[in-house]
Amino acid sequence: MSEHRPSADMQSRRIEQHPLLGKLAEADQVDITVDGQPLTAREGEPIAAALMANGIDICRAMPDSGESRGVFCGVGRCSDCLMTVDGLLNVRTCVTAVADGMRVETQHGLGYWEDGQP
Amino acid sequence: MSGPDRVRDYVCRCEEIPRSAVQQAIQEGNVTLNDIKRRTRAGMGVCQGIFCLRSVAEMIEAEAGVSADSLEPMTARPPARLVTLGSLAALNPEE
Amino acid sequence: MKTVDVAVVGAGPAGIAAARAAAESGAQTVLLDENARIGGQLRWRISLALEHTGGFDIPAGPGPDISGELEHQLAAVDNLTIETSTVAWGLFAGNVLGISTEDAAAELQARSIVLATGSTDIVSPFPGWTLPGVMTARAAQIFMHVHRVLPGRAWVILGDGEEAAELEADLERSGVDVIARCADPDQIRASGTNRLAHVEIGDAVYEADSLAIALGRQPDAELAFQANAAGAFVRDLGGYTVNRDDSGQTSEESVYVAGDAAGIATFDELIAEGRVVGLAAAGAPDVEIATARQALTAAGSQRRSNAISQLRLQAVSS
Repeated sequence: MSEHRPSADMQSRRIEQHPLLGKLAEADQVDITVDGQPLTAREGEPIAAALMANGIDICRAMPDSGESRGVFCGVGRCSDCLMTVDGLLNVRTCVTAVADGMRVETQHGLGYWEDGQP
Repeated sequence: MSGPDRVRDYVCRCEEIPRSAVQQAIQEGNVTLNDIKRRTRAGMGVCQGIFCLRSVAEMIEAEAGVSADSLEPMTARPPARLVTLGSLAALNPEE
Repeated sequence: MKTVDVAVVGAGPAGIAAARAAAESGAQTVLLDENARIGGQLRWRISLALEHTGGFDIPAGPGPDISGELEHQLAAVDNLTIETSTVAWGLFAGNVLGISTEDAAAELQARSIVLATGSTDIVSPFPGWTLPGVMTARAAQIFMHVHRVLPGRAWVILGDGEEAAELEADLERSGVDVIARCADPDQIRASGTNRLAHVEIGDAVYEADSLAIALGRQPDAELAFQANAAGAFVRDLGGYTVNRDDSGQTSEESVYVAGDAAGIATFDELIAEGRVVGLAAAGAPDVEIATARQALTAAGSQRRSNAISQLRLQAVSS
């Protein structure tokens, strides 16, 4: 199957070509920030997919242990991909689409509202 | 922060409940899914127990000899998905 | 409050078949799905979608737009409304669904409610299973096939059944390596500092950035249990399963369950059962339901129908 191997460019984890699904369709670009760093996403994709495509696998740090979590169920059922988005806590990034100008932040513990209150 | 080899052996991911806590609760005589949920918080998180209910049932079977087939599921309460309180507040029951 | 004849929750194979049957028999029908596109598991289980879409008459072959095909087919059905990006999060007394779109909640009342809410992956805890890089088989399939992003390049699969084999083929198609498979959750251990780096299987240690849990699927009928429907743990149906009569009706009147949500089923069963339940929920003539039931018996696996009958008998005797 090596002819279908994605490009060797380790920066991109996009599956540009797939033997059954064909070529990845064109999509408009959306600019977001993740913990202040700019990142380019595909319009309509979930936040977690944009992060993963850019090599980011960690979404939150847990309240009790501080341990990192990332995408686990991929369908909005578990609590592992929750992040703070445009100041809103506990956003399920695997099922929430990116939007231009969106501010995505790693959520620490239960998160903090914009005024600093837990 | 945790070290590289720290063992993270949770049963309930959402509430960070370790296997040892569930085992202890079973040994103390909590042998229904709702008892374990009340005693340890396993199953009380965002996923509503969908990812740990089965494991807890199998642990009760292994530790206490109560057949998983005979265990009632945890009480299911809304919401089945994480929804914002703001959106629910907009619901008008009089409509 | 908005009121309809039939509300179907979940636009996967069973839900689509149920909604279509209900609408075609004249019931004002709403089909709800939390995703932006319809199709359910057909969207991420691409081998299923390519091999078994006969019941939906979707052309097989590379690159089918399955959601688009289904949307096109359903657009021609009278009495049917499709509400996507709509989550049904509660089922209350009087057949009232609590539903939400992105920023607004509402209530929807229906004469009959069909829960075709599908399945959830079975998981089993093991040391390190909370590390980023460890995910369900479904998450891996959705990220690769729907979002077109590779979660990782060096994979270990936990599981040795059909789901594990299906995922292994999917990973190979995406051009990544499956370096090990482990059948037993008691033999596996994951480690890493902030994300998965190593997987131990027994005494062997593998460098891996991804670990998929492919232990099978379990029915997900949480809304039925919210409504106090009776059920039991049935291993042959995948897990906690709602008890239903032969029209798919639960112990709660006018609340029906269809498809994987009522016991993990084959694709042909999902379509055939969706049709039976959709007709029953719409109050279609008995003769039509009986014909649909015969088709279900023909499509159905003996194992699933036996397990469903057994559950029914248990409920009667207890």
